[in-house]
Amino acid sequence: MPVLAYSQKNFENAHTRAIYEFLYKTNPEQTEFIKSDLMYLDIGENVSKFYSRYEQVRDSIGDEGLRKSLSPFEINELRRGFARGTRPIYYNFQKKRKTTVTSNFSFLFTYYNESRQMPEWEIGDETKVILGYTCQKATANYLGREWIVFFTPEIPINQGPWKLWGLPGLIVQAMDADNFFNFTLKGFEQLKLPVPIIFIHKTYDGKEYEKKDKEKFQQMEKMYYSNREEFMSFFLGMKLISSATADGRKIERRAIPYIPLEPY
Amino acid sequence: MRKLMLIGVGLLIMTGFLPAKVMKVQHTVECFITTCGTTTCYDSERDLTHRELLNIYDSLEEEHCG
Repeated sequence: MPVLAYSQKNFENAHTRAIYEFLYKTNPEQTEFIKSDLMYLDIGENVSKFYSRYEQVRDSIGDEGLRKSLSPFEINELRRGFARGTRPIYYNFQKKRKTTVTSNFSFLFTYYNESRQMPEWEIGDETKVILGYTCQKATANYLGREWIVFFTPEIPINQGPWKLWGLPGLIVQAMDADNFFNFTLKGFEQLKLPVPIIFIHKTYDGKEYEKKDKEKFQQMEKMYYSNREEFMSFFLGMKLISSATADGRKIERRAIPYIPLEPY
Repeated sequence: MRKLMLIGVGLLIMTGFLPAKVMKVQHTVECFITTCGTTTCYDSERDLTHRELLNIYDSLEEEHCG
């Protein structure tokens, strides 16, 4: 089968990269973070991109495998030992005050746009040193959660992890009040070589991502985790015939534990 | 002669020597065996691309094998 690698759009080059460790829970009853990811925030003049380095590596192995016409099983074998990451990619447009979020649910690749609202930060007095930077506390109710962050005026960039932004310095740490999520800066560098901020909007076989509104996107995400069978049937036309364990026992369908960053 | 040929093709299909596509079946059954030994089969409304198969395989790996 011929496979074509289609070109993606290059917005601009990033001048700075912030690297965050992302710890999170998948169930409110968990007492500790059970998942981790490594997130890159690539910052350019007009746009920044926040994405999982783990998923980027897995994707590139997948693309290479497809290019070599390897089977899905073989590609999966190549990916063994490479940690899974979080799928959504966030493109934040500073001047346009717009965010584009892309993701995939199985083989349905999709995205939505939203206007970028500034969190109403309350800046506190508390300070602490993280990664050698003196940071100051700020809090805001934003997109359904109460966020507690530490930012550093030593890096005068008003960006941060995920959709958080709008403080007089880079957000170095961010936690929600429920303690489901934690982003902590692990590295910061001015990039010496140009790193393109590429908008990934086509699948490997050249199909454009489907545009949805945010509400629809969230409905899809909710169904994908709460009822995979229904999702596969409704959105992808894939009807489950059977699912069994190695010893032949039927697998009972169940919800996959998941807490969205932005509650539905 | 034509009758004989039809019987021959029918026999080949029944014994699995000819693919089901010859019979113009519109739905496709796709089965995925994960690295942790689960087998999941879907009835698809169309033939899937290599990339689509990989995405399903990956989501089943995530769901069943962690």
